[in-house]
Amino acid sequence: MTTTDSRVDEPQLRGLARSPGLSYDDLLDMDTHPVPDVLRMRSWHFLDDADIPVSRYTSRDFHDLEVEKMWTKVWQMACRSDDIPDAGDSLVYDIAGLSILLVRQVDMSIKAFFNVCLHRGRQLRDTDGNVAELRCPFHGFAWNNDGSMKQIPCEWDFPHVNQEQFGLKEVQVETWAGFVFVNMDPKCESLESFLGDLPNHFAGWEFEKRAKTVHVARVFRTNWKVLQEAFMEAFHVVATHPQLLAGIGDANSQYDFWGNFSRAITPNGTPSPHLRYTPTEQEAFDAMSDKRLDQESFVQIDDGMTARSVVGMGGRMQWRPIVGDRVDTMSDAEFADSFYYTLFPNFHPWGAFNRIVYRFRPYGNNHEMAIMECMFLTPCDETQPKPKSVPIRWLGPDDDWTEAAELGLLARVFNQDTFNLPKVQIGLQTLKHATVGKQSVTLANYQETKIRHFHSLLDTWLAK
Amino acid sequence: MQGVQHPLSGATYDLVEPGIIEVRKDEMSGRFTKHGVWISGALRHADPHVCLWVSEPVGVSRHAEAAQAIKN
Repeated sequence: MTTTDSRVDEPQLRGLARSPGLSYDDLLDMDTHPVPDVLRMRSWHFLDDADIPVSRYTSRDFHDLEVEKMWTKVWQMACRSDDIPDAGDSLVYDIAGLSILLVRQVDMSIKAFFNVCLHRGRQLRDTDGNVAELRCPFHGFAWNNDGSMKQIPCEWDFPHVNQEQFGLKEVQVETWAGFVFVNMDPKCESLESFLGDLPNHFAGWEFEKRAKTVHVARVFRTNWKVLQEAFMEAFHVVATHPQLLAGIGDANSQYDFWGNFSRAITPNGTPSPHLRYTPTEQEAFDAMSDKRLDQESFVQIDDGMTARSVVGMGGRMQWRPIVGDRVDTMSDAEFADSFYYTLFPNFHPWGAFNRIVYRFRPYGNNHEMAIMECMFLTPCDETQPKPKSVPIRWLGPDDDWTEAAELGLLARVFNQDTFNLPKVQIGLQTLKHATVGKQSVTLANYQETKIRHFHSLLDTWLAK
Repeated sequence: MQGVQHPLSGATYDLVEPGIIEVRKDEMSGRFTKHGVWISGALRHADPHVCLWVSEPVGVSRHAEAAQAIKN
């Protein structure tokens, strides 16, 4: 289509341009194994090309609106069910200045309460752990683990309190795929309704059977959406992670969205269209495996093989002892590629055998600080006891990701992202001033689809 | 050493001492901090992200782990 073609101005045709290079469907057609239907599913339409106002990232008023209209109304992932496996286990989930306490019940159900003493308002618990009761450390008011009133100290002084009506205030709880979700709105839709078709996308990857083997949280000096949006597209790879380019189809990523969730698929083992040369299959694999100039290749790609097929073959060998012969039904794509989903507003489970799950949220009630969490959900040998869920390792805003050695190579990738992010917030502070003459950020039509989809949903929530 | 070649510019990046990266392109070279700040040499510009990448201990990628399974 040329610029003189009048159809280019029709809104429904905008956003249809795609990068040169192999499309994701082209790559799936070359897979050595059958590709699951979910990888072929497509759902995209033009989401307008409007700018996003800077105030969404810098304004205290906008943050307060998010708290009032979204955080207190929306389903959000609080923890893994395995984080509180035994009766009496409790976990504190804090979000935007609000605190929620999750407690495993004797019947193995999970209850969640607003984490506050109804006497003088102290946070009831400030650490995770197993408890026989929920007793406030301030004056000793105590509740049973099911939230019912247990004891009022100096009860003679509280004749005005009806103990049967003095139970902890409950929060909605539901689970999916081993994740525990909470919702503060008693009139909220069911989690099943909110998730829509997402469970079908993950049906083949059995997340409920996985163990949380890594959980690292790091504090950033950015708005939580600045942080989150850095992990919702592959557009930044060419500038931020250029060492990967020989083995990543960054600009050939596939972007789709459905209801409350979106998905990006970034293919690996295929070269970036940004390169001015065509890497060999060996060079593509070497880039994927971070081979250095003074190192031998980790494996030789023989004639007739491709980087993707070798990763598929290696992945099947790697995971066969854990998940059995099911690996024979899995495509090369499921071992090679990155499938990064976003469930509105802040939950990012990755599909297939890349074990990553991200969560992003404000740090306390601060609109200019945020928390990024990275978890690994690892498939387990079902003949062995499931490994215990690991606790969170916290890193501060000046810490280096490599202090969390359990992240492996990913820590160094995160350090590259981290080099940008606080400077984005600084830049946005400049951009918001009227003297600059542009108080908005300008997104790509296609490659930043997930960000556009997020803001489209956010608009809906804030308008309710 | 643990060097890499920049896939876009063709320059090579090598860790020559902790936190110091030497970049070579054509007949020129320069030394930079891990954040790409110039220290010395005729070459005055480097990609800060690749400096950072080269400055840190080499790790094992999930794809290298898969390759290891083939070797075993």
